[in-house]
Amino acid sequence: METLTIAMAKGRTTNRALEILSRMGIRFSVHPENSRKLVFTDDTETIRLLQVKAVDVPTYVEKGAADIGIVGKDIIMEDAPNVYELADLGIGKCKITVAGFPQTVLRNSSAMTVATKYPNVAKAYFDQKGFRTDIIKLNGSIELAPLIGLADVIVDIVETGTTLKENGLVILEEIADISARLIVNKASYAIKTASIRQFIDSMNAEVRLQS
Amino acid sequence: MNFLERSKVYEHVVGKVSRRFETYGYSKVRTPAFEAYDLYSEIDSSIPRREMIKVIDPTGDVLVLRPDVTIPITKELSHVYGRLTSERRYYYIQEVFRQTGTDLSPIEHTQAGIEFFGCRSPEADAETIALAVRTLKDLELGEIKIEIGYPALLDSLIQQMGMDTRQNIQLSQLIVSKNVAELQGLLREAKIDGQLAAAVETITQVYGKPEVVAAKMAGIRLDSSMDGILEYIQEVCRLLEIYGCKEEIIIDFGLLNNMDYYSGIIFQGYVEGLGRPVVMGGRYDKLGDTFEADLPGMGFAIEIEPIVDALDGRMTEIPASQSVCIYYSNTELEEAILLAEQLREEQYQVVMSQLQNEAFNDLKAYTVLLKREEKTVLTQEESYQFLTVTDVGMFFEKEA
Repeated sequence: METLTIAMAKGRTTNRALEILSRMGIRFSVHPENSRKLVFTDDTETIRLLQVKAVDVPTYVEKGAADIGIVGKDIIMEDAPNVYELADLGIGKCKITVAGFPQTVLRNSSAMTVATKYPNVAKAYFDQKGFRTDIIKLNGSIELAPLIGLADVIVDIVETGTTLKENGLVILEEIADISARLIVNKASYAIKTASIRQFIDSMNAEVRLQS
Repeated sequence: MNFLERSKVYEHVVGKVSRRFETYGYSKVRTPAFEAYDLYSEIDSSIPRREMIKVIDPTGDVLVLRPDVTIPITKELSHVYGRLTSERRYYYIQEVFRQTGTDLSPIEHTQAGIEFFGCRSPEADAETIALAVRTLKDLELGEIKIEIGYPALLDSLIQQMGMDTRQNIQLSQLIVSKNVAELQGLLREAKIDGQLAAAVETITQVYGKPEVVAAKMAGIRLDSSMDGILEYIQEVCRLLEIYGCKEEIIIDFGLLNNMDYYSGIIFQGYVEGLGRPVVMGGRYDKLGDTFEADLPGMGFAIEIEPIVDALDGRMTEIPASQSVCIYYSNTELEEAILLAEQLREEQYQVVMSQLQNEAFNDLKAYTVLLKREEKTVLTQEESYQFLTVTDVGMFFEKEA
């Protein structure tokens, strides 16, 4: 079989993805989780794994540097890469939400200030509702923004809600359900159709066994 | 790749592409770099307005830097012919200018393309696609795949579903990303009739060799116009097999229009190792209507720059067969000039250089050494000794 290059980020979701791969017979003698290496080849030398930053996964796949990527739907929604999205792996589940102080009312009065890591998602969501917004792009600790008056609300992913709760915030509206997806470069799909289909089918089978 | 190497590879690619186009009877045309902005606002949304590079001329009119070649060629042709009585084949190698997205990608792209006017048939479509395959093969880029689609197939189903604009945009996004799981969700949410929904799902997923696709499509019930389309595509594929392109062809009915002027078959081609399509094309029978002319057409454009990048380091340099370098010692300058002029008359490409030491840097098919005591011609394989420059001249006459 020809080699497939897969891009994914380090983290909890990736460890779950590696478990799935291992049940598919794709094992790594050096465990990517415990290594600072960035490129790994599996023991059968058919899979090459690239460890990249999560937000860069769509870029690697769209440009063809990786054939396949495993990445959260939140990042796909924000980036809107020109790739195929062929499977929902059902792992890394969470929600992308609008959050703020409990008494906050979302309405279209004066422009609302929204702090977020996902400016495109936030803008599309509020535009669709017809709300005027000022969007502030932050890269982390989004929950801080309403606390110090930088923003009225935030748009962020919520898994357990603990961080929100500890900062006195609540979910105001849910935008979408998030989970890890498998994306594929369009040229790779054309050139390596059989290998990629086979990979996805066996991954889907493993995912179904788990759920 | 530095500027010099890049120019060399670029010329190599462009040369090969033009020669191939010419073997199919295409002749080269040029269109102006600056065009009226109105030309592109007339044709609904073919090119997003924000992607065009606008310039204001001294009279205050808005111009754009050529964002497309098919539209101006069709327009020019409509001035010459209201209706075509015979086929017309044109090719171009020109820059197009577009500011796509917000990223920092270059706005200038070289496109090498063809336009085949006056013929509306599976034969014309197959010939055009075969030419795209042949041209890419000539460039020796590795494996090639051409995806063929027919957007009208899905468009008519989507129209029957009667969803709102927002849902339609969402639907197209899900179709082009082959996201079947979410597509099913959207169709359920919009309460689309089961049979119709199943047909859209199947067509989105149809991808593969023509015979496999035919089998899958047989399972869904379509109206008679769609049966006609499927027969048409089968015929194009049969002809492509005769052209020797069976291995390269994939049917992908999930392929949607990227240019609104396409009206029939569309296709895009990938080569091994390049993440983006390097060729895109399709049939545009209605584009002539915009200019009040009946000009059915089919064409494609190849993106040159990604191919140049891909060939970096893969090209072995072969000296032009007619290239000569004459090295002369000072006493032989006059004879060297006369020899060079004689060879140039015979269409050799000649450079001259003063002989300093015995190191020859230039890669030429022939190296000539003119010293007082010896006259030598070196080819890649052999070395020949002559007594006089006249003898050297005669040697080249024979070679030519």
